[in-house]
Amino acid sequence: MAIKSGIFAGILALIIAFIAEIPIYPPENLIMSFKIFASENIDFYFWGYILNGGTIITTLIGLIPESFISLCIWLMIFFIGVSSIMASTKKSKFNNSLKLFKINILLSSLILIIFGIIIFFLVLVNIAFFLNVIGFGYYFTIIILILNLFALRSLKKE
Amino acid sequence: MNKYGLISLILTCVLFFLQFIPLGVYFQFENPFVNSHVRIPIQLFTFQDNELFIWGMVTNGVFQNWFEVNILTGIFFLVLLPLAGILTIFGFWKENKTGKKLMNVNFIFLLVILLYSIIGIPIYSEEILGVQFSYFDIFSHLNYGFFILIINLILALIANIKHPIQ
Repeated sequence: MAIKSGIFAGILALIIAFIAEIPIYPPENLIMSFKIFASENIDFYFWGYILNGGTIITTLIGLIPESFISLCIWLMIFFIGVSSIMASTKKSKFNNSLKLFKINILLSSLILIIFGIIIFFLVLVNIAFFLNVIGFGYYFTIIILILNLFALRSLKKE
Repeated sequence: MNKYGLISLILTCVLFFLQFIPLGVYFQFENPFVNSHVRIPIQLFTFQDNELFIWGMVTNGVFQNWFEVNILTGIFFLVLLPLAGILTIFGFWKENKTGKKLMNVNFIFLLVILLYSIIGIPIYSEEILGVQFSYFDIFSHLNYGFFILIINLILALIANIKHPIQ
């Protein structure tokens, strides 16, 4: 049987890898932004960042090695998306799925730790700003990690 | 189902249908409805103001398909690549010898396209770009699309080798 939590985790990962924001209620200009965190009018996403709500900068298509880390992080979240879906299909092999879910858990933990450290240093002066800084991208990564853990557990049960 | 074949098919579609890969997609209630903050270019080669895609060429914002520029390049790019894609649609799904043969054809077609892009384009560069390239000049004008084509070729090879047969 297809593992629903794995497929959901994959879709979420692909959404935060490609999409910046989706409208929730257009008349009120209510949007859901998938930024990882925001600091000093800069919104950080997996694919780049937006300065002062206008200038867009991406390091994904810059020169290596400057773009290497950001490219790796983007590829990680893209890999999590694709592999979560592939490991959750009906015809996937048990051993391969097990490995993929473990890799996904490892990668999503790594992403959370990297951005967690950055956010920690940003809010070091006043820890109360913690919730103001973090965006939906970070929360979704936490959800992806939890969903992958659930998927691994249900796979082992099967 | 051959998963590598499916990824190869997706890459083929990206190369054939898109002008760029959109990142940071957002939605707005005006034209265009879907827009993106970042656009990763997927042309095979860039030479001065000319951008050479699989589906055609853009010169100073003017779009031309390959049949308008060079018929032979059109045959290699605009006929072989969609054919490879169509064969992959049937091939990756079938877990039998026919499916493996189709994946094999997909690999051969992609190999031919790659070889043509590094051998044929320099040969016809005078007609296409107005400048005659020597053999290795083309390698100094590579763009992301070329590397996507190489990744596609590698995936097609893996898909061919690992095709499940029941």
